Amino acid sequence: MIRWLIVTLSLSLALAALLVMFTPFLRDFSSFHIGIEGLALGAFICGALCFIGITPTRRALIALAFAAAISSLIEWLVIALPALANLVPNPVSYINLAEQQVLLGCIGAGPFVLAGGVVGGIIRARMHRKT
Amino acid sequence: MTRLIFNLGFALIGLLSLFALVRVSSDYLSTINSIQNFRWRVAAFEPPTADSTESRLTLEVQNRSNIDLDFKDLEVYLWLNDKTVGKTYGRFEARTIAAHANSHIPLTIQIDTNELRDTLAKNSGSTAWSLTGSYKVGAPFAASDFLYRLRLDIAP
Repeated sequence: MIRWLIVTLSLSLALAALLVMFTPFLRDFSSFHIGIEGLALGAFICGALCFIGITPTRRALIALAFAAAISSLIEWLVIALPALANLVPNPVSYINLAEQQVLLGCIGAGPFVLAGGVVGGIIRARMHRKT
Repeated sequence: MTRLIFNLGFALIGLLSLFALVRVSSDYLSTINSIQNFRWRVAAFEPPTADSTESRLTLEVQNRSNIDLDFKDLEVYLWLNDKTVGKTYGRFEARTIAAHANSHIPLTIQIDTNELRDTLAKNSGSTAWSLTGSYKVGAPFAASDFLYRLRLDIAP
């Protein structure tokens, strides 16, 4: 259970960091940004690590679903921060923008996370067969 | 031992990701916060006399954000007590102010001589000069410009 928690939390943060650094709207604000290729590679590795790190497959799938949900929530929170902190006179537009960018991130990263999960599952099965 | 290394590896991934998240959030919030107030200041001002047709004014503006910003459509009104006695008539040329830079903006205000003369005559002795106005700021992350109001008192 502890391992499940560590893996899920770490991958949630990793996916959130990837999504935030990829978000086109945030690109002008910070030097920490990546392109779609960085997001694809990072998401693929996250998916693979999840299935390599957690057994059985059912628990790994639940962990991946949690990681995806938590990372999307973190991305939403980061983009909506100026609205939540009452820094801007137009908070609704930041909330709307956050929703749009999260959708974009999910579409961009989702397939690669799943592909990584499949590859990770195969690697895990082979490792398991050898032992 | 393998389990410990494995867990430490994941914890390290989490910590590095947390660092990246905090850094991006901090940069983002500080920039958004800094563009809410540009800290305008009157750097120089020549008060017009009763027969002046123009008055020279230099404003200083700070761009405390991490990004270069375009300042446009600055229109400034000169007030004497509660009367408008002049304005810039849209002669401001758009300019880019670099991140973390200050810029001095020299302006020429066209004086409404009759209004100025009347106001000076009515308020002999008490001259409280002030400025109002508006300007737009273009930022690379926003499709449309932000509109701001300007209000400054000029110290005697």
